[in-house]
Amino acid sequence: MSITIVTSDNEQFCVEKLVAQRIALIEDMVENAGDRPIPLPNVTASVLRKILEYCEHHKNDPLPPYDDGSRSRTTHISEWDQKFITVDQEMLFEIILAANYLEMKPLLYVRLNVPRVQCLTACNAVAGDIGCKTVANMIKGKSPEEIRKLFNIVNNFTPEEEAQIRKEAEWAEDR
Amino acid sequence: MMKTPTLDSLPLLVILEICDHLDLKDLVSFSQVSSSLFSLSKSSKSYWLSALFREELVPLLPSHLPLVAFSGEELRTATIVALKRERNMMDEYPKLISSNHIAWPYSRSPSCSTTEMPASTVGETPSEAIWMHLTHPNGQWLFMVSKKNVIRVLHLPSGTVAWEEWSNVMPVLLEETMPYICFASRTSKSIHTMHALVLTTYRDTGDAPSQIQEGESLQPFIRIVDVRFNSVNISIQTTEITRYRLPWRPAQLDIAGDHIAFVETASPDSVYGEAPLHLTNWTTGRHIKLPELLPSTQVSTFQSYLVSLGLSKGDPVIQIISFPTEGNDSVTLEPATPKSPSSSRSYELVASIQLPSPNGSNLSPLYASICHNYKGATRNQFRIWVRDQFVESWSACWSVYEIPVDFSRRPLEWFVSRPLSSTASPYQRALDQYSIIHRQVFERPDPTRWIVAVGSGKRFFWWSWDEWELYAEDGPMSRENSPEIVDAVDGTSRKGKLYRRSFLLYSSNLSECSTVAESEYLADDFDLFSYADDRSIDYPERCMETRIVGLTAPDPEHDLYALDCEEASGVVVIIWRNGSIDVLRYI
Repeated sequence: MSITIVTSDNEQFCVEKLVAQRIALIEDMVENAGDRPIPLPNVTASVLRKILEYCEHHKNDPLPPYDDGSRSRTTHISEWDQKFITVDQEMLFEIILAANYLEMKPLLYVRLNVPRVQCLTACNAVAGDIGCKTVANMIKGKSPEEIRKLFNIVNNFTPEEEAQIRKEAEWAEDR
Repeated sequence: MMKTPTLDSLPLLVILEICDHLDLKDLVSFSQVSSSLFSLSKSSKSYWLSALFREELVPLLPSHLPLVAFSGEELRTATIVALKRERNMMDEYPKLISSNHIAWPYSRSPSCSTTEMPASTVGETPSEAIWMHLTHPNGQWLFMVSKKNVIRVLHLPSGTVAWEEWSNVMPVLLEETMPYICFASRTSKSIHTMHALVLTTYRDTGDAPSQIQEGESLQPFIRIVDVRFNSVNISIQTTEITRYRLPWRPAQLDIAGDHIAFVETASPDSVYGEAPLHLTNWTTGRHIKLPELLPSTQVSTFQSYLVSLGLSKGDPVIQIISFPTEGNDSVTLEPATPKSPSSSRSYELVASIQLPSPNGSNLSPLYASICHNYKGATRNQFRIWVRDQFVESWSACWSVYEIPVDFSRRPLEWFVSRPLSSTASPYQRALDQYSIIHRQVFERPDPTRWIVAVGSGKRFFWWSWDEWELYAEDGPMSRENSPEIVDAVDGTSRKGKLYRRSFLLYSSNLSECSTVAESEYLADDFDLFSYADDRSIDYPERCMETRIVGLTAPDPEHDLYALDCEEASGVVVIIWRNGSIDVLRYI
């Protein structure tokens, strides 16, 4: 059995229901939608294609373990995931935003602790883990200036903020 | 047309998820990228919490409160200061940032509050004055109790006495025990404005100053005093909150939050000073009924649990008792299960772990310390430092055990077999394996002094003197050939020789010491705990700058009496037998 998903740029995807239901938001909408297509006005076709590719690959993965934050975090990314997430920066952020919109974050099920959690799979990791881990790995070991340059962020500090940061920056002078 | 997303425009939850994967150094850098990230790091405690829970950084924050009790801005400031300290301490030669010397006799600050001193305190000698001492974790204040019942609080930066009181404090009750002054803070969240609770013992004679009479029956009392520090005008305000009689004579105590844990004075037939453990809620004066426990030699208490070093047939056993968490700030995001500590309404023994000892040696519970950095997290690490028995020589060794404890698990799941032989344990072990990392740290040979493990127990210190005998034209400089110089340096010199010496302070990190054994092993079978044959385990040392150099004579009065290392504030307080004090700051 399959369902139809319509993206923001009006492309239609015919997806196996079992795969689509791995996405928390769609799982919620399937019951109410009946046979009607499910609209995803915040996700483009190119991004949904990537997410569905991820869901298909990880559909049989077990749930990640519970984590309250004190467990040691790994930024290791598996070979397949690494290849999957090797995209340009714009696509990386699009995937993260879409996964956030689609409620594909471990954060949510940890904090809300709803029974639906049991139905979710490691697909959640697409945003919470793979995307965020990738961004974190890009930030690691870099100075603020290097991070700004890498992500094309404008230095928009007020003079007061600049003064405070200059004071604090002493510890990091040799980084 | 949709706007292209940028890193700093991502939704808050996504940014925080990214932060979860960064370490503290990277979080500081990340917060300095843009105004919005800077604001987020000050407004959101979640920005810092995950990394603070994971990393072994001890921030300068009131140690009894869970990390979630602090604001994002407080966590940010404390993190940056702690990173700065760690950077210096991890350097090959940790740099002394500032220091001051406080000479005996101590001068009083103009705002010093005092009570009437009886004639008996006149002519107090330095060795009497420095008898018991405790440094405030912020490195700003030093409490001292003298043998003549004078309690003093020194403001360390100014080197002046801010509070001096004679009372019928009875330190004599606690001879040869730990200092009988403890801190806790309830009303303030700032380490520099905290209101301390100070406990002292009293005898039941009311307030009238009087001397102890021979044969007088002494009754232990607890007095709890709220102490408000004022660093601006160097003064202290004190208010007695409560006092009550204790039904036992305590040998050691610790205070955190509402709880005071006591180890009772041991009976004469006790080999290691092990004795029953007691717990009191000081706000109500209520003595708390604890589960059956082994007699203990040490106790450390925290906001939501206490840890004691118990003894079973002479072998050390770590006992952890969780407190009811109703109203506590303990962190748990997991739903409470009926038997989890997070929903506990009683005081439960949640772990009892016998420490494995190396082949051919015994542990000496007389010299042990429980080290722990309280975070209020569900997963914690305890470090237990236990000195090995002096079997062959005075060249000694410490066994250090790193024990991870997971409070999110049901107690039964990580309750390790309880080594009580006479009583059947009410618990059944559900988890057969757990992990302990065991390291051995050998002390350097004489004249190096003992290792001092502090705070979280991840770092330890030792010291020695570097001495050179000075020579005049006709031989060693002495009273005979250089009387003016020798007398000017030290008129009490017995041997009359003159030395130039410098004080050497060393530090090392436990993580840099070799691991003796690290394995998952069956709880009941220590044979599976294999040990390295080579015991000459070495570790790198860092010689810290002290700038304590001078001319001196070989007189024990000039030797070191105590060394206090405050991990969070990066302050080392050295108390000399002649009453002078050196305060070294590494931050």
